[in-house]
Amino acid sequence: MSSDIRGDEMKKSGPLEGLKVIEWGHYVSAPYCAKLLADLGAEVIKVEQPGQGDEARSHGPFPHDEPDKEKSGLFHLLNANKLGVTLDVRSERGKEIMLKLIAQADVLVEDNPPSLLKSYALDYDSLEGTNPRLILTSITPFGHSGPYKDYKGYDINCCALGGVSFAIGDPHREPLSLPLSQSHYQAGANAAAATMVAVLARETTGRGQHVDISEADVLSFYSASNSLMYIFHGMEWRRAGHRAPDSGGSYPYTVLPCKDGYVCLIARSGQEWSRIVKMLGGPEWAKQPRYQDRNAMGREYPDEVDALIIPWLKERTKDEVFQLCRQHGVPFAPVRDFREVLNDEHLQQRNFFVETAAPFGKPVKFPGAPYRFSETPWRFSSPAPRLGEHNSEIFIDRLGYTESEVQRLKSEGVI
Amino acid sequence: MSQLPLEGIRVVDFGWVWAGPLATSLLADLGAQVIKVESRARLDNVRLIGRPTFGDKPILGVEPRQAEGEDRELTPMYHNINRNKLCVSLNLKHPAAVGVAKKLVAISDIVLENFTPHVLKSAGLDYTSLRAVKPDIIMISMTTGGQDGALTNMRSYAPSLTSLSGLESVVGYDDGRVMGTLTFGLGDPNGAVHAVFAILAALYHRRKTGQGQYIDMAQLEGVVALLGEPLLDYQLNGRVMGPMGNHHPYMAPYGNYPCKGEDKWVSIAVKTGEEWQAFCRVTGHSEWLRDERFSDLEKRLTNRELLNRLVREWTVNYTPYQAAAILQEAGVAAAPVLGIEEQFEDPHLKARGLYARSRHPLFGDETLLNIPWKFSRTPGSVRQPAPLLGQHNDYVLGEILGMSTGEIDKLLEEGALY
Repeated sequence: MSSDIRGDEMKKSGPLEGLKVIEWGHYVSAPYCAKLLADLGAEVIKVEQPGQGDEARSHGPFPHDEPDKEKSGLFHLLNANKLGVTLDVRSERGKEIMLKLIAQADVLVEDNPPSLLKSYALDYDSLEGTNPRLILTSITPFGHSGPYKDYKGYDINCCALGGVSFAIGDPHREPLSLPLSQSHYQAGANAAAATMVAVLARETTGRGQHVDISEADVLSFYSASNSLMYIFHGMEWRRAGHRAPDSGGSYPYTVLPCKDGYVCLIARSGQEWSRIVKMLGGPEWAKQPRYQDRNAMGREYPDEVDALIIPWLKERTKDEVFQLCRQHGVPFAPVRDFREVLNDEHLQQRNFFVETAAPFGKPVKFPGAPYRFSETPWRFSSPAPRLGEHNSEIFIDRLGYTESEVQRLKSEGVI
Repeated sequence: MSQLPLEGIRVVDFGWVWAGPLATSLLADLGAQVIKVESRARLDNVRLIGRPTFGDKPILGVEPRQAEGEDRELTPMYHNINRNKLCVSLNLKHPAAVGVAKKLVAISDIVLENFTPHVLKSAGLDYTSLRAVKPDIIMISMTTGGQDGALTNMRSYAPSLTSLSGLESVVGYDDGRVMGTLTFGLGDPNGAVHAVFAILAALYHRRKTGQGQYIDMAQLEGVVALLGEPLLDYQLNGRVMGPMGNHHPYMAPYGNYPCKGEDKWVSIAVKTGEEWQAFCRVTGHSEWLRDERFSDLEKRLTNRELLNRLVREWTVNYTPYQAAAILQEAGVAAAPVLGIEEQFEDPHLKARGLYARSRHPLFGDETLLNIPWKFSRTPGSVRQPAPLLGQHNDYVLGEILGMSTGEIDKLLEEGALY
């Protein structure tokens, strides 16, 4: 099913209305950055390779697992509210057209290897002269400088260098990376915020600049922000399985099984611990001094205390435990699975999910935006573009190519 | 010539603990004047998480909430996420303090808070009240669950947030037992960065239209927004995703492999046919290229247990840095798994300028983390250490608001400054 939506009919509204962005992105990193801008009203033209398009189109999830480049779940999640064109940037004509697109834009967001950008003369040094107001936002695994700048990196590599994996998993087994492309999403979010800094700075300086975002830098910034605390406190910063190392200093800080899944149990003060004990029904064991010294429990014998609590948990479901925790003012949480998240009462009350039939022909819930603006609300205005959907509008109407030039470029594989 | 990109912007910061202060520290690093409001009547809890330390020695035996006076100034995380800020010790339980806070808002651009929804409202500092003193104010409230809905008053720690989001349900090995991310907290920094984006978008809008607004941000939604893939897979194909270890649906080999030394690992990811060929050649195993069991990605995924074992037999001969260098030279993605202390030593992270040295008045020299965004023209920086409680009362109230010494003393006497 198709929905021919013209760019100028897109009813773009939002705080970023009027901002013009070209996205030359692949998979998650740059597409997520550009999605954040598009969702708040910026005009985003997404440039894809003719033929296959963005690799996210081949990643699914697909309805009934049937690959279809117009029905990739990941592609639809990341590319709604954007215009889409095809362009082989590697070719001479393609590069020419890309430069014309850039000339009309405020921002170019991309996630190509630095050496590739340079070889196409689309790096910042090459662009700055003719586009002094252009903001180039580059997202890479390791950045545009430093000894690893030409290193290849996928998300597992960024999580490794960024100190994240070292802190997750069983101490007797391999460290675990963050699942589901989280490293790319974080880089994209940081890039969007940093892009806005450059957009605002340009109002004063009159000039654009290069914004260089590295996934490993971002993850290192996140993980070290937390772990500095542990280093200075002389506590080991290393994965400890289903609990924080040394239980974060005092018991509990852990994930334990219950009747129908898992719960996350954390208490940071004596007061919170006594509320937990009360919730457990004031058991005899909790009255012994051994189980009142939370530091010793956390550092020396947490398995023992886990074993005392698990039987109580195994008799109760996640929901039951959650209700009891809320009643007793204990900050526990159930470990929800994705079916439960979709049906979560709170998220429904918040109207967080957006239901649309456009991409798949049947209504499906997409996550909405995590922020609500009182005056310029987020809107879902159009589904992700079909491959090359806006070629005519952009190349003919905007850039002034003729119908026959466009046909020729198409036959040459340039678009 | 570089200049701070957010110079001239003033922020009233009611944030506490992690997400809120981290967001305003990013603004402060970039030149905004961030005025942190914090008093002894309601201390920023991050001061009380973990133990105060002096030099490199933790002060043991002190229950965090009992730390007093200077001991409260010694928490490294507080230092890291409150640098570059001014601090006024306005006690918002006192009406005179609320009056001063409003005067500050009247000359500010942005207000940020991350209390549970009733707190600022009870103090008369909610958006409606603040818009009355500054009609174009931009205010953002960051909470776990947002300003409405069943979870509005929920207290949570970072892992509780990610537990509710679904993320934790897929963190574990393929035996199904959920491990959790636990010490690595994603929810707060994710929230902070999205909050900065939203604030700057609102500022962009205001500069064009003169219109301010209120932003309601739910950190839980901030994480769920990133988890669309499994949510769609469930709706399209009925599958509920569980922990998968380091398996990737489109790459093999893919994982963290053991190296020479204790608890040393290298991450390796092979996606394309070319990368697989390069991997086989550079590890001295061209015979794998002729092995039917590995002839395409699908076969490599099917036979990944065997493949992983073979890769391990190679990696155990090298240190993580050696293995990574050999593989990268051949165009294969590889990087050492670094612990936190190793990160401080890594030549690339150092060259990227991730670490800043700062001098705290009580703590002395310390290492903080630089903002990870690199700007060619208008970079951010660490210029001042985290403030002591109430350190800038005279400066903010006297110089910025123009109050007299007498007026300030009165506020101190009546406990409005505390």
